[in-house]
Amino acid sequence: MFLLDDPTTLVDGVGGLGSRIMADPKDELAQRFEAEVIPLLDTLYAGALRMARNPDDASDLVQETVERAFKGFKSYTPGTNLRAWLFRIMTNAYINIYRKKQRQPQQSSSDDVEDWQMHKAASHTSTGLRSAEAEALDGLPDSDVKRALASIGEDYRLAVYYADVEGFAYKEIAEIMGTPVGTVMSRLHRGRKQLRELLEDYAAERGMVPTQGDGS
Amino acid sequence: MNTGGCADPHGCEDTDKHLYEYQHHELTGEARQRIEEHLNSCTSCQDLYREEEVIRRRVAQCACEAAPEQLRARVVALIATFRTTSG
Repeated sequence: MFLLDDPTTLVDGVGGLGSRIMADPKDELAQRFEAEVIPLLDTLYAGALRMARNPDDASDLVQETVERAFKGFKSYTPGTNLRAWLFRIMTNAYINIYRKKQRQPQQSSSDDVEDWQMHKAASHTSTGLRSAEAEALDGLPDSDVKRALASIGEDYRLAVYYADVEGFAYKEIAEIMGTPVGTVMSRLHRGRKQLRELLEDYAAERGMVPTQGDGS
Repeated sequence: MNTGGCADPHGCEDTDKHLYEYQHHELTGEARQRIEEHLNSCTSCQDLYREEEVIRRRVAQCACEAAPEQLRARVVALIATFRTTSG
């Protein structure tokens, strides 16, 4: 790790010893890890909640992620996106531990949801109501937004989370999720469309939007 | 899908297809400009985009829970063990 043009890494080199002459390199690593990872704890927890979906499992998942991250921290390149790197580790931890536990068939949500969406799309051509709907969606309680997010398929939910909450580029999301960028795009597309349908439904149920005369 | 009254239904289709890429700043150059120009001329797509912007903002606001204090304490303690055990 002799990135001599980066002053923060000088402690590992021959220069910059000074008062650190006695410092244990493991200790240095742990200190740097703590300084960089602790500020991301809220972010990691919110992400974990989109996977594990209850606070206890989400906390366990964060802890597991931190443990794995420290073991691999030497392979993390300073200056690259640490959040993305951590979410990649979390994704793997989640797949290894929690998905196995659930013993779900692998194609869990992605397939049936498409039919569901196509079915829904037919009853939702609300041109002319859109502007009213934007207002209505803005007025929905947070609990409705969380409920909608929790209701869509896991892969869709995570793609939406990474793009809309974390603001990752599609390329970064592809690396985190271990899929091609095209898959990220279709997950986002489907996820966001489903989210819109659900939120529109909630707004209609709450009488916040004039309903079209659809015979459902 | 969203072509009510627009003089350029192909533009509506194109916008519907690429709206999220546009929103997430994944489009550059001509592709971005094409969507921008359509949005400037089509009120129906404008409304759709406005709705999608609301959804994006609401999701960003609602999905950012703070880590529980217990977890924070657990992680700090865990990192402390990294210092002492691995040497």
